[in-house]
Amino acid sequence: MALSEIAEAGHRTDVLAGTKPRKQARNRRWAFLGVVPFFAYIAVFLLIPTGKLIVGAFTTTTGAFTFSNIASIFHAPYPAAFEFSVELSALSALWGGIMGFLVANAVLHHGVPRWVRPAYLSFSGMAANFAGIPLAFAFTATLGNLGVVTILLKHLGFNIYPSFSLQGLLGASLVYLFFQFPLMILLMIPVIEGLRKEWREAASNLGATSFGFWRHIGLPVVTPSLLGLMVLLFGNAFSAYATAYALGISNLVTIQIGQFINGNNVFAPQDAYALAFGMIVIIVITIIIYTLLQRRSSRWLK
Amino acid sequence: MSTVELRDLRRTFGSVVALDNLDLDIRSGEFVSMLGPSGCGKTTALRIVAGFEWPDSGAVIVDGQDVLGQPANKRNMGMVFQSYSLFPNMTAQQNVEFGLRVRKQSHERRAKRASELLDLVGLASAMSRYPRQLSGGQQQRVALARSLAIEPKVLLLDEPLSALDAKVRVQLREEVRRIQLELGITTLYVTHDQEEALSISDRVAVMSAGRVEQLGTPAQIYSGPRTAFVANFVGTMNKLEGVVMSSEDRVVSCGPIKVIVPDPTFIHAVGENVELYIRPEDVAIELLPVGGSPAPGYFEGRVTSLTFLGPVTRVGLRTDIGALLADVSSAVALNLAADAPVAVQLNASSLRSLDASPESQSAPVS
Repeated sequence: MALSEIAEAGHRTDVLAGTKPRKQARNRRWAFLGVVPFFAYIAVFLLIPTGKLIVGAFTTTTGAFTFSNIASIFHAPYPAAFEFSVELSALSALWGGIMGFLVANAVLHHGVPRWVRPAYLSFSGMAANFAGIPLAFAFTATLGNLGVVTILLKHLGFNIYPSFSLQGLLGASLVYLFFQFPLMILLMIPVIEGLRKEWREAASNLGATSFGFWRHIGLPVVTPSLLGLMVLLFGNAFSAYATAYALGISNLVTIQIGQFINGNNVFAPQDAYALAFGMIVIIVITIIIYTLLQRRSSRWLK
Repeated sequence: MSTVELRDLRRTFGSVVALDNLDLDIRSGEFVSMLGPSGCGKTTALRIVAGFEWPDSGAVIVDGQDVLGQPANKRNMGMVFQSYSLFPNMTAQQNVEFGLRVRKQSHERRAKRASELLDLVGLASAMSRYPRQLSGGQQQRVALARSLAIEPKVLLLDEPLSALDAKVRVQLREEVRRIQLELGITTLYVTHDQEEALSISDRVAVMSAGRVEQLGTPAQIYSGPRTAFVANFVGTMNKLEGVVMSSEDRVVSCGPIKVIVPDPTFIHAVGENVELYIRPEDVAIELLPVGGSPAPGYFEGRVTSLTFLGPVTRVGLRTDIGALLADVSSAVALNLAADAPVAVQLNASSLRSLDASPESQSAPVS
């Protein structure tokens, strides 16, 4: 091969080598088009409304900057609404979290027949989405004042009313539990599956009982996930609206905001912005705690 | 030091027989490897000894006592698993201390023992590291230290090196053997890696279809395989198909070549088809000059492939008696090329006739 041919071959190689990265770079430039619809949707239905809410929380009806809207959420009836929302969310998250964890663990136990797992997953998928008016109706029909179970218990000598009410903390948390607990099962199953069989066997081989395994290894490993998912359940309950509305619960933050949206409260429209801002703050704190806990648990379970 | 006897162990999974009346004795302080292909039942047997599986019938006797009635956490057996089984929420030291912690031993005693064992496996400086901060090899060392901390009667190792890279694997297997010899602990090792089994074991149990095909020292297994399965599974074998020409003199005709089988127990009728086996290192070759013919005792072949294996080169041959493999010094192999004519000689004293088993495969098989 003559020197000129070698030089030309080398040049050709360079050109060919240069074609692929250039094409890849061009492809990369256009690749973002695929996610444009998603970000457009997020911008229109999340970012812009959130921005408007935040601005509205700090401005008067004439557009002047103010802290008075924020200050108003510390006055009646809003603190009670925040308090009940937090209590109801925390209680249903706690119940749902613990029960979901126990059931998910039971479903995955090696002695349980194989068909149980898909059956539970199907049920949980359905039940986690069973909320709003149908759920409220179901509970009113069973544990309402004239509900089937209420009357049955009355016949058996246990009159749960008036100390119990579906609008009270215990009653409402029981209703919320119906979608919180299956959601926890769905989320907890992958976490428990992350506990390797070898860890249990190694613990047993070293002399530990099942309790010893959970005490020293199982619980410490799943606790960040467990807490993280309970925080997620808290956020889920905190933002629930339809179920509470259908049950007739009035002192929840979401219901209070709904009053403004429905036009039932026209006296201080800017309070709605402040209430929504308060919700955003709580949800953001929830997401931060969840993310931190998930990061910690993924370190052990990956 | 303990003795372990596996008696008539049978275990089925539906219609699949994982263990078919398995019998195996492990002497006190002995290192025995169960070697076999996937699905031969070796891990099932080990898990039964550990207490994680139960047989349909049979017995596991440790020091004269059947332990099948005892749960795994009461058997006092150390086990190292195939995949990394260290507890992720504990440091290397805490992992090693775990068994002692369960036994409610004092903090000082636990710390001292963990320190000794991590030192033994060469990880004294890594005791405060979490598993995710250790390499695969280091994790398995900690797992070994953890299993030894409880001073187990028997050490069980379930393919502990299979997830490691080749160099670490060789290094660690030598360490496992060193530690086993140092502590004199009775050890049952499961592997599908013949080199691993042959290099570190006192005895090797070659398993197939839930049974022990042959139990013997590594040398006995390699040099004197008793079945075609063992011959094919351990090392590489050439298989020759022939017809018995003389029953008394044990003469077999393999195509145009006649060989005498050295085994005095070779009893077959004249005209019977038989299979003979010979290892590649027992097949000698010499380069034939152009137009030359093989000397008496040799037959002609042609080189079909050359595989460099370090000190030796494995030469693939096409001959009148079929395809053969021969191992020659790599220095000699430099003179060979594809399709080169060679003179081939079989070391007749190494020819063996073996009982065919259903698992036997056509030669040559690695």
